[in-house]
Amino acid sequence: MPDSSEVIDLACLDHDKFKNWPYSQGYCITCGMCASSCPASGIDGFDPRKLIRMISLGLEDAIMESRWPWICTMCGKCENVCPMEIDIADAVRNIRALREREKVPGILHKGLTAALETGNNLRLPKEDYVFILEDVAEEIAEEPGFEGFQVPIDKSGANILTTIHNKLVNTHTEDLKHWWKIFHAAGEEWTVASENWEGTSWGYFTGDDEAMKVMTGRIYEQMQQLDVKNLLWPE
Amino acid sequence: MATAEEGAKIFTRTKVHSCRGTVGDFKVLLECNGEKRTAAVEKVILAEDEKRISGFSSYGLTRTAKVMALSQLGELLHELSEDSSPISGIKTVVFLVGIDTESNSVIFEEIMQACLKLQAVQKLKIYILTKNLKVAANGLEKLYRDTRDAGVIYIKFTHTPPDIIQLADGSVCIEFTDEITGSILKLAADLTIVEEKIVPSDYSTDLSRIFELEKDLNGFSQGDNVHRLTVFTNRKGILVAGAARGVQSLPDQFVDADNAVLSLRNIEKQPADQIAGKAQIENGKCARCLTCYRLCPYRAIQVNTRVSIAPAACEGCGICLAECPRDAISLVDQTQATDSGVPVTEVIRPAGESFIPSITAFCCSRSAASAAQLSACMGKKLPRGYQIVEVPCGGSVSLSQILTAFNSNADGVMILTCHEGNCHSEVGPRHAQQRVEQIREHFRSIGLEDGRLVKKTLASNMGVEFAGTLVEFENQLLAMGPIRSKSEKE
Repeated sequence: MPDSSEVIDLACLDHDKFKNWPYSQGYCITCGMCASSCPASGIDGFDPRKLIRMISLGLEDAIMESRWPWICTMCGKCENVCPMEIDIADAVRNIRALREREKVPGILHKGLTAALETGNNLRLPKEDYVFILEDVAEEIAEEPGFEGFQVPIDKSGANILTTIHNKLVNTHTEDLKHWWKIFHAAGEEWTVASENWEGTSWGYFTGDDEAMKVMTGRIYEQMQQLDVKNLLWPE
Repeated sequence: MATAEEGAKIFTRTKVHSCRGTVGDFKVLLECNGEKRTAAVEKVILAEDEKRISGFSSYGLTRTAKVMALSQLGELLHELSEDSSPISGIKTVVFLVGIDTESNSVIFEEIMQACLKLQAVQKLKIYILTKNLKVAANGLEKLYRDTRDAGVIYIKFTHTPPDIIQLADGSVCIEFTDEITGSILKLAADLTIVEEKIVPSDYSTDLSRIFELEKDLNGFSQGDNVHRLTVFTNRKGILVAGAARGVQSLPDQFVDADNAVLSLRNIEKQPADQIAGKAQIENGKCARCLTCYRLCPYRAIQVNTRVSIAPAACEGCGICLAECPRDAISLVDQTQATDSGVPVTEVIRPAGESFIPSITAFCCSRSAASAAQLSACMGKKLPRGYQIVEVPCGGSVSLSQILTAFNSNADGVMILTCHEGNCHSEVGPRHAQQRVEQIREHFRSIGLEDGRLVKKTLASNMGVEFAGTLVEFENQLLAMGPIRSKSEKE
């Protein structure tokens, strides 16, 4: 957020700084449709229009320091209503990419570093992870109609590989059951990987293309190794 | 365009002094090269040019080498081509436009074109400071994008105008809070271009007076009334084109001129016997008080040895006859069931039954009467006892017509007119309102509920609202009970 007391001389700004971004951001007419549609508008004074305006003026320092780009959830409602068809969410992601990685907000940076190092955001060891999955499977097997249910880990030649959002093996284990029961009822040939199973991609949210490539590459590798044709990536 | 074969004559360096008569028979006093002469003309097109007023004072600026008006920049740019050498000492250019009062698309087009031309000659920082960007004209949205691609920055002021300071060297420094981000920004301009207001020329203003035309809020010779669009005025046979009727781009002005000529061709000279529906003054009754002359929105009343109404210019609105103190004016061939011109039928109340309010609704034929038909077609719930009296204009309903309706057992009377600004005769709703207020005052003085007489406005497509308005009125009358004066009540 710009410091409200500081006077910025427009002569010192390079308005063409972000001109080559391909998001039509320059055509903003500051109508505010995006601001009205945004579910995060008003948080810390944030609205999407401000970010587009800051890029247009070339307020580089202010936008890199601002909390605003990190408040956005990138849901894209703003883009749906923008009369000038500006790719606002893409622009927000690019703004996030401007920031030094060390200065990316805490949990995102920490989680992404962990994911790159260990294969998941939680640094959850393989044994613990497998234990949690099997524990959930046992609970399902106790329910009528699911007797003998087992979770197929690293099942070669399955039809579907599904990734796991880290919260599903942390605080929201119950949510795993819905998917698995559906697979079971449908008689689906499915599997989950014992390593590099992380489904969240905080490289996407932090504008880190390289990290995103690594995470995606690992999932692709899993598919290759397990000889699975289809991917269910519920993120 | 009109040709000489069609009888079009072009007078140059000619001034109009006066105009008498009506469509098909105007007598215009002209002064041409110092000679005065009267020309007999059937129809008139006014196509006067605009005038420009530079906006220095509204921004607290004075003209210097570093502060110029838009036209001045236009002249400068006229000399420039892409091969021209850059204008020395200029890096930052600021345009001030439409911050205190709204500007228009003509000025914005000029400004945006100027920006592109400037950028083509040298790389500048160009800022357009405004309140609302006006791009409602052909190609202007594209032009906006082109200027943005060329790096022009737009700064809009909706709430707080910028602080504009002219320095000792004549240049301009501007400080403001960017309304979007909240950043405080400072802008030092090497060259400041100030907008111009487009207003009617002095002569155009004279012509409006000479031809007795309604004017719009900005003084152009065409009233702010949808019925006057595109090139018509309150006077039949007098048309306005281009800058005479409002702010328009040059190409639009030429389109207007063509439209005006086409429209003139369509105004047939009416045969003298076509007088049905037109107002007529009865011989011998007129006292020549000139009330009609003052009131006629179409200037159709002619005052010679006798006062008469020109059928070709009369639109049959009936505003004159509602005010004629001698009841000397009537509309030709209109059914008139009573002396006052109201085909009002007496309401007979069934004895012993509960009270059903009787409503008489005077409906303008151009709006409320159609809305009434529409509500019936839509099967809307309407009051049990009502009658519609279709009138040519809400302003034609006279005091005596209203009173006649009450005399004929109406418990409540409504006058339903067009919306203000949408009345073909411009003043109808206002006349209706005045008369309603006048009678309501009398009602109060004799102890009658003044809510028994109301004026509402409706458009012809408002069938639902018509029904709603009448039912609401019925409910109010039910609460009041049958009409009785204070003495009767006692």
